[in-house]
Amino acid sequence: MISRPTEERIEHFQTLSQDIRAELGKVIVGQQTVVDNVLICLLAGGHALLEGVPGLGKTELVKTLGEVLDLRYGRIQFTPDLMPADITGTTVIAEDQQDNRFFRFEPGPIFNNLILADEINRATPKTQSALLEAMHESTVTVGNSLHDLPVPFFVMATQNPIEMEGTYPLPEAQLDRFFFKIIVKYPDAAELEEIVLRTTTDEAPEVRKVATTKDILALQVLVRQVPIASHVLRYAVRLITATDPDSAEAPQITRNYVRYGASPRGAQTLVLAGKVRALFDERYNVSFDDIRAVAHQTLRHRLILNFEAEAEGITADTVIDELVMTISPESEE
Amino acid sequence: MATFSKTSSTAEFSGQGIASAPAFVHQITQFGRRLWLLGVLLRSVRALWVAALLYVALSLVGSLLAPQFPIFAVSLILAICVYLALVAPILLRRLSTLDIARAYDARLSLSERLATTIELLGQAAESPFRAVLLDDAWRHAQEIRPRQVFPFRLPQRDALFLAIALVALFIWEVFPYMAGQLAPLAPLAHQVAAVREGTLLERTTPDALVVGEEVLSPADGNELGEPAAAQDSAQTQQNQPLLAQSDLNEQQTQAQQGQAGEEGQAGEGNEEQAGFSDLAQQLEAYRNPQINEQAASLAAVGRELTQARPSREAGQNLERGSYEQAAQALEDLADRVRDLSREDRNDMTDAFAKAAERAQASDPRLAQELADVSREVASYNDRGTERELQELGDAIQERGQRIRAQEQSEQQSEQLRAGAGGEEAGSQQGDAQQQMARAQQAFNTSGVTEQSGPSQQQDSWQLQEGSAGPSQGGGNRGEESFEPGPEAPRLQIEQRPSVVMADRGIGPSLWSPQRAPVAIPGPGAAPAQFGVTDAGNAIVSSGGASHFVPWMVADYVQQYFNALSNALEQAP
Repeated sequence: MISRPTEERIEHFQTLSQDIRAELGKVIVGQQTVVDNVLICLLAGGHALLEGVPGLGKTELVKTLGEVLDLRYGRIQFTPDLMPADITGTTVIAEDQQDNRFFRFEPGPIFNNLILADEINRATPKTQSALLEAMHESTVTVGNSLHDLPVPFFVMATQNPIEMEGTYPLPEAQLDRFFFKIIVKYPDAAELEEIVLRTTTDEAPEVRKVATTKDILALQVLVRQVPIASHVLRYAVRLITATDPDSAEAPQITRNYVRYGASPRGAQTLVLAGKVRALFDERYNVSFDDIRAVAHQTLRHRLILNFEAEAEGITADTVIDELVMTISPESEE
Repeated sequence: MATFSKTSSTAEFSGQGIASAPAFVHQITQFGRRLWLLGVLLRSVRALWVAALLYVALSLVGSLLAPQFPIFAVSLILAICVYLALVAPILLRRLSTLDIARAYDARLSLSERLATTIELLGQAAESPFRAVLLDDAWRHAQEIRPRQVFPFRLPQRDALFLAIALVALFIWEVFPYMAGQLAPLAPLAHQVAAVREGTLLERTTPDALVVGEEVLSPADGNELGEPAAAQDSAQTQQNQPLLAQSDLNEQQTQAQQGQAGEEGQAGEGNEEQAGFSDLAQQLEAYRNPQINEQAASLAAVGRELTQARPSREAGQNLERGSYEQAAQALEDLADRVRDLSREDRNDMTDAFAKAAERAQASDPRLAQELADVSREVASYNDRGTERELQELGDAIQERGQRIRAQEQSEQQSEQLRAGAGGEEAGSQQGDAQQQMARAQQAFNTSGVTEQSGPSQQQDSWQLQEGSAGPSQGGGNRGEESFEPGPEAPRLQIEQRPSVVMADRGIGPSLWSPQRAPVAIPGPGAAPAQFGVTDAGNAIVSSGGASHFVPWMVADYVQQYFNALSNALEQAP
């Protein structure tokens, strides 16, 4: 017997995700994979790091997402002189009507549902670290006061490739807090033509809000209820274990080029992202393909490569490709 | 591989209880039968080639390292154990529904639907996705056709290894049987090579070819293509009776010439006596003392063989001197080797080993044959035993022929001596002629006495000197089958016999299972004519008779006849 509420929730999930895609598609041309991955982060309750050269529409995508979702949206433009208090907020001295002075906490832009941390790697590591507590615990500590962030809370950060001028690499701890690292690639010729066509007229696309805070939270709950078979779960764990160079199951490429592997948070991300992808694919269980499909965006920022990898031009994606190839689901049986 | 379309939308859900957990589990269990059957089949094939290769490898190594050890039986037992050890686990294995579901998921790319559903159904905690997942999995399961999903198809690797194993088994097990049947090919090739080198063909005119009153020197003989190489002593000894026969023929014709020229004259009796005495002396000279030793050795061997029940008949025949029957008894024994009990085998091992010891001094080769039989019997190698028994039978038959020939020569020698004595006693000249004729006949047939009969019938290329020509009105004569006549006509050159002697058929042969000397008559006054059959064999028509010449020696014989004819033409 199919549970009516579950059926309705699943229908709602698919309808809503299609609506969000459609609204984003009004502004963002192409980049379907990027959009899907951003949606996965949103529905899994994770934060996304979008990396790409300037001008590819990263900021536009997050901004449009803020418009599509009926969420409180805040934007932080990261610059080298940005201070942590500029993000979290600060305590200021205020006066009441009786001229009594007191300390009052002035919340920073982080106190929104959807934060666009634009060009996050242009700020110093000290400032970047201001997001650590917020991204993991959804709280901010200022002075002796702990302040809860609104729910849901998403950080959609954009960054330029690390080798560009005036950038600071994100600390590993902060990188690990991002659910996905999504690489934004150049649009193809047809997409570029469409982008130019849309943006060089006096008509600005109008998007509508299709999801509320309540909707997002309900979908996040539904995602976590998607079942996963034990052997699929073991496969996800084996993938994570294989990134640890000290693990007995680590393949040669890991031993050669990886300094630190993915954290347990990576395994959680694999499974959660797999669940969202299964629902996107109109299935009700996680498959091996789901795990494989989200492996790159889940692991690429969680693998810390060593000097040999850098010297030989080995990237995290190369290592992940090898891991996905060598660790087959059937080999477990 | 079957493919499935994705669920198009959740709107397809009926919302009704179209699937129940027990029904779904039962369905998956049903799928498991096919999976189990396929697993058993594949494992059986894999176990088969593994066991077969193991058997061949162990047998090969064992036979090389420890020939006396019964490695074949051990290898067979080990191979069977390995086979059972490999097959038994899969036979006893019971696939869980989860295993079955995973297998079908993987084969059909069902995105782990079936396995997840099975797991979910087994969990105590109720999941909101339970019903929807069960319904989705049930719909996919309904489309599954196990026969199409898991067809009985052998993996390429297993098929390859199975083929290798079968070939190895064939080479190891079946080929020896064929090799036993085709063994003559090797000696035949050797024989042909030997014939071409002139080591087996032998002229009856070793020193000079007498044509009329002229005597061709050995140099002339070389010009005629006669092989100059001298035969080794053993070969010469084996052919001595045959050489004696041809020399006797020559002497006899000389005697006949003398008899024809001086017939009716008084005082001729002394010359006749001299002729008999010469012949008798030549016979004595060609007598091979080893033959008698071999006869005694065979009798001793027979006595030992009678100690074992299976070989008793062969032994008794050997003791009696019935070598043909002894050989036949060994053939019969070879046919029933597999039925022998352990005690019989032990008795045979001992009897043949003792017989080998007995024969060692006088006939080492026969001793080796006997020892081989003993060894094969001891190692329970039935195929090897059969082969060795057959070879032993051939060896005994060969020796029997030699012994027979020698016995006949001895009889003739005695008859000639008796003839000479009778002449001295004043017997009639006609008696002397009859005696001479009998002597000639005896020698003409001495080389083929043992093989006359069945061997001639099955021997399609047997060259028989005894084919009766039309002028003699003898037996029927075919191109490839001849019977020795009571008076074998011999082509003669100016009344002198000239025959090509060939020691043909070393060991068993497809064409000639027995060794036998063959004499091809010379062309006489008229040049020989050759015809070639479709098979490449030659037919020699000479002196009013036709003779079959096998292809292996056809050109050589033709060369000989042509050279001889040329010499005749050039002779005055």
